[in-house]
Amino acid sequence: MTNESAARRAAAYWFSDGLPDMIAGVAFLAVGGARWWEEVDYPPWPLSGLVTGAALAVGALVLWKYRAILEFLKERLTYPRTGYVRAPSLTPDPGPTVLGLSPRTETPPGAANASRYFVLFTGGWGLGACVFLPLLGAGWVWPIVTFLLAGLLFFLTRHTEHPCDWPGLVPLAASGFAFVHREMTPNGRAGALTAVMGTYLLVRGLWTLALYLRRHPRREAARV
Amino acid sequence: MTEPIRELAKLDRVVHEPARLMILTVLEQAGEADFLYLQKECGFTQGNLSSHLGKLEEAEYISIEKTYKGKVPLTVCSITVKGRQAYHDYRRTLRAAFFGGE
Repeated sequence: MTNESAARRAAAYWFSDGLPDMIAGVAFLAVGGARWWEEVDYPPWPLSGLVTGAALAVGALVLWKYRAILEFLKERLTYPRTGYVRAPSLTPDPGPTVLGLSPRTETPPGAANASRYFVLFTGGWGLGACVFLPLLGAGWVWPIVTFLLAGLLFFLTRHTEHPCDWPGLVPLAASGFAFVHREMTPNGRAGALTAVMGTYLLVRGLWTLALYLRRHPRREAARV
Repeated sequence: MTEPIRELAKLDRVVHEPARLMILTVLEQAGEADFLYLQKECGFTQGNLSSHLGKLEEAEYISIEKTYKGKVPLTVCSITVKGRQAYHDYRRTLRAAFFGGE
């Protein structure tokens, strides 16, 4: 066991239950769904404003309280099953360290910043892409945008503790074809793509959670 | 026999034991972890892990806190400053012996 693997395994453990994906997915889906609903809701439903306002508030609240919600769920689902390890972004920077017994000195690759990396790059980039790329307009751009989104997610996360595997990204890449023949305003396109991203994260999180729960049935927490 | 080689004789026996070295390595990198995580990560039985944690706590290399996360009782272990220092000293000694010093 090297230092690197211990740190990376601790960081990867944080994502092993799928909850970080699920919560980010709910936020993306709420925000994107609300914006997309404004587009497709014609003639407007009387309570439409209230519903979209509530969805936007839920999305904003989930993003704001991301860590608190995550801790709340992990306390009930994860810690009793596979134990607790400090969240990666709360780990103090270990500074220069030695990998194994090699004389070469290196900083462990990004382990301490795993959750920050996830939120900023996966989430932040996704949200940025959802806002700007759909402004390109024409329907045929959709498959290109979703393909690029999937490719970038794969590329950005491939060396992290939480990589996006390519079979899981295929539906995300292909989802653009569903929008080729839809006429939408830039606002609606941004909303739809945000919702697609949210759906991807939510489904990925649910799938990971299902596998995790099957592998780790509940048991009493061990004591010294 | 050169000086760094002789230093090997002074290796900290508390850290040198493989099971305790594994525990310290995990805690040094993760900061803190609970009993169940350490047990799964290092592949120990409960009794074995308890015994090694006891020795590390006795040497003041780790601190053990029984706490709650929500309603779940957890035995959280974290590495102390003394433990981190002992761990780094141990690595430095080995490195010096194998690769000829800093």
